[in-house]
Amino acid sequence: MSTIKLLSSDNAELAVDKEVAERSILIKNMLEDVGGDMSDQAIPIPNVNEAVLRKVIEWCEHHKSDPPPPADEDSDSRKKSTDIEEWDQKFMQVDQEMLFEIILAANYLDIKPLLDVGCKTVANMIKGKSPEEIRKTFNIQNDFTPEEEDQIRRENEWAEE
Amino acid sequence: MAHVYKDILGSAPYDVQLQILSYIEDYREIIRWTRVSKTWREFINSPYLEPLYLQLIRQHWPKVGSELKRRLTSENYNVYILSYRDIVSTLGRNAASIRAGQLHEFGSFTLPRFPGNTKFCYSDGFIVVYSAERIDGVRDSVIYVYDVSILRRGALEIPAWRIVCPGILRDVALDDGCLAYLCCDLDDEEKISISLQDLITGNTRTCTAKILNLDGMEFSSIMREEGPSAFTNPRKGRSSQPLRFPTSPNLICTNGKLVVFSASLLTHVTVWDMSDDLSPEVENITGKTFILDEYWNKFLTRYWEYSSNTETLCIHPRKYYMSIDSDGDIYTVINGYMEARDSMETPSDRFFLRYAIRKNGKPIWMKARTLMPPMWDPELNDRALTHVARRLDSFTGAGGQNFFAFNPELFREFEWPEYSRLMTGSILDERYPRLVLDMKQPRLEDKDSYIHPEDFLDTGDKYDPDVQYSLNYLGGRRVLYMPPKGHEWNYKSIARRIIPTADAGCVVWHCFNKRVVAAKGHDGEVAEDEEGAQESVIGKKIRIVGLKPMVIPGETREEYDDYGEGESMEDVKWVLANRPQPASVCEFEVEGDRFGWGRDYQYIIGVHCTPGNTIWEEERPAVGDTVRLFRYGVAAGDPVPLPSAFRTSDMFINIYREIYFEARDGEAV
Repeated sequence: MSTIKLLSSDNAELAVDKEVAERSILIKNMLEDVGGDMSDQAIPIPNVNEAVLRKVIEWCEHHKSDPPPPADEDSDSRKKSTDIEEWDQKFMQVDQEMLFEIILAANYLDIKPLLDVGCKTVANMIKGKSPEEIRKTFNIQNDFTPEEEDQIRRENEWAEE
Repeated sequence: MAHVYKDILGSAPYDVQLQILSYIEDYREIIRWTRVSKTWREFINSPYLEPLYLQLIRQHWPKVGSELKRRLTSENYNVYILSYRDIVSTLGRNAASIRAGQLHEFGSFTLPRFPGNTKFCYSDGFIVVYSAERIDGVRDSVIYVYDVSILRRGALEIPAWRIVCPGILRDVALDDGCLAYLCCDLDDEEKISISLQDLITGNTRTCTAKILNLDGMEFSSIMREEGPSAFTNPRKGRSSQPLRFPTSPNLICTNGKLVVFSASLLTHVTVWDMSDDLSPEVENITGKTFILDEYWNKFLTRYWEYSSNTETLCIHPRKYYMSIDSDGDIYTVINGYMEARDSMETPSDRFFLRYAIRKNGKPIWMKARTLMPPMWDPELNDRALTHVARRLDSFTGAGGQNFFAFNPELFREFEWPEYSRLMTGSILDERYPRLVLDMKQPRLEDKDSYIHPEDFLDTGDKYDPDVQYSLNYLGGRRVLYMPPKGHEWNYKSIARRIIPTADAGCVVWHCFNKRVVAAKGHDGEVAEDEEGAQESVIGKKIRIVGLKPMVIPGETREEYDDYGEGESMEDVKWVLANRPQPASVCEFEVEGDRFGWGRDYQYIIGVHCTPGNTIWEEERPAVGDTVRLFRYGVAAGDPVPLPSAFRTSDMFINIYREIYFEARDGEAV
């Protein structure tokens, strides 16, 4: 099995099986463009640091045998946000900064199933929560004046429970 | 270790925000989150999230989603449409206001007055105004269309246009932004044309057909000789010919693709497939005529035969209803009574028929068809087992659902109320109608419907194997409908409708009216409604109210049982103590005696004729009927006059002159 090297934004070089790395459509396309031979040169991943890259590789290794995702995004097979595999749920039990970075990395590296899991995790964190609870969950400062907030509340009164 | 926080959604790129929010099914949550912070408000209102709102529209309001697609691809409309976010907000606010039962008058506009009595219909933001009377000198009828859709942005003027018909207009039907209209040929009495116009794109398809004019006896003899399928046999050249009885009302409906017509006491229906996706090369669209129900046909045949011999039995179909859903399934109701004149007891019997067929003519099983043509046999004169249905009314809900307010009456065998109460089990059964939904659902295997005569016959595979109808309570709860009573509600009911959805938390929107009469009292003063005084109608008082049905606490019950529910005295006490007041009341007075209303999830429309000069008497067009628009929610201000603008060359004055001078020419003035 061939191995390739990935170079993180903080200059860490990580060796990874080509099959695992090709879970990333970005890397897969890059390898195809250069004829598949990148054994000597590390592929730069400038937007992802070492810690995040290691997490992403860990996820790709676990899911290396998964079938490719369906092409039709709007198909009924799309799972609801609560439907996340147990291993993925545990994998996503990281602090919010890391979760955010994994989502960005999955988006950048074009790893759709990982992006789905990350987005579903965030959706589950906010689903059913009031604005106050969301502020508390993400430690967001309420930068509205009471008058402004009251006005928005009145505008969208119909949406209040 | 300290917890590391991150405003993930607020910091993420738009496409990631879009994906995260796409997992949120409740659009109200997303709207509420505009209060989280300024950053959240900014991205939730951002145009980058428009695909999310489009997805929500398709998910929660599929019919609007489909209409929107057509509006956006039409050059006439796309610049006027609200953003998807605003549409979600508008529809969401609307749905919440409907459930709260809030209604207010938004504004009004006047229609041009043209010859004949004005009729109108309303659906999905389109108002169609027409006259189905033949006017001397006017060759082709004209239909006026007004677009009052709440999807439109900055509706300062209501766009309007006209459609010139290929002949004399007889009937129209409107659904899903499509208008079906049926016209008679001026030169050939048996020739009709059927048109379907997409009011959004302007695409129109028209076909013609011949009508078989029949009277009752001819129908009866053909039926007797050839059987119920006599008029649906293509080999005899009859399958494309709609039947018309002189005494039958014309019924027409459409689902935007199919047009259905019946003018034969609902014995037969004729269906034309006018789908837009048909090949443009298809020039001659041929209608297909189907039997609605064999038993109903046989019943009428026997009735005509018998009544022609004895003239002692009268049948009075009083109400007809026909609709077609998006699947093309045709649903009909006939409500009436028959009476025998030769009996000392003058027995009369109500009948109530529910029948449905698929678009290919296959009958649909009507589970527990409790009320039906009486099992009347003229030879046996046996009416012992008949039902008498009283206070029965059918009406529609959103999306063409079929509802009934239904109160079972006593069995004829049990004349004394004490017995009947033993049978029905509850005083509530005798006084308050049940709110029942005739629900189309997958066909079940059991056929425990044992009342209809057909049920004793071997029907084989006659019925469609996939679907059936059955009467169900809303949301599986016992729901009573209690119209307001008492002195303050001394009004006559016009019609009602459930909006927006069929569940126990819905609101029944109800229109009542009361005549206002001028009368000369004993003191010479004009008085209203004075008993015994000489009266003349000068107008009507109208009340449009939102009424919440009553859900009786306790056990759930899926299927409706017309033999009575047997509530306990505790239930009765609870119902009487918790009778709901109307959620909202819009009250106004109109001149004249003519008033009509239309209603759906966008508006409730009231149209009333303003007495005045007709165009025959004035050089300028007289003020015509008035359309009043009622919106859901609380009033933001007083009602406003809404100007309407006819498209380009269709300025009303030109239309008026055209009709006016054609008519004058016809009169050889």
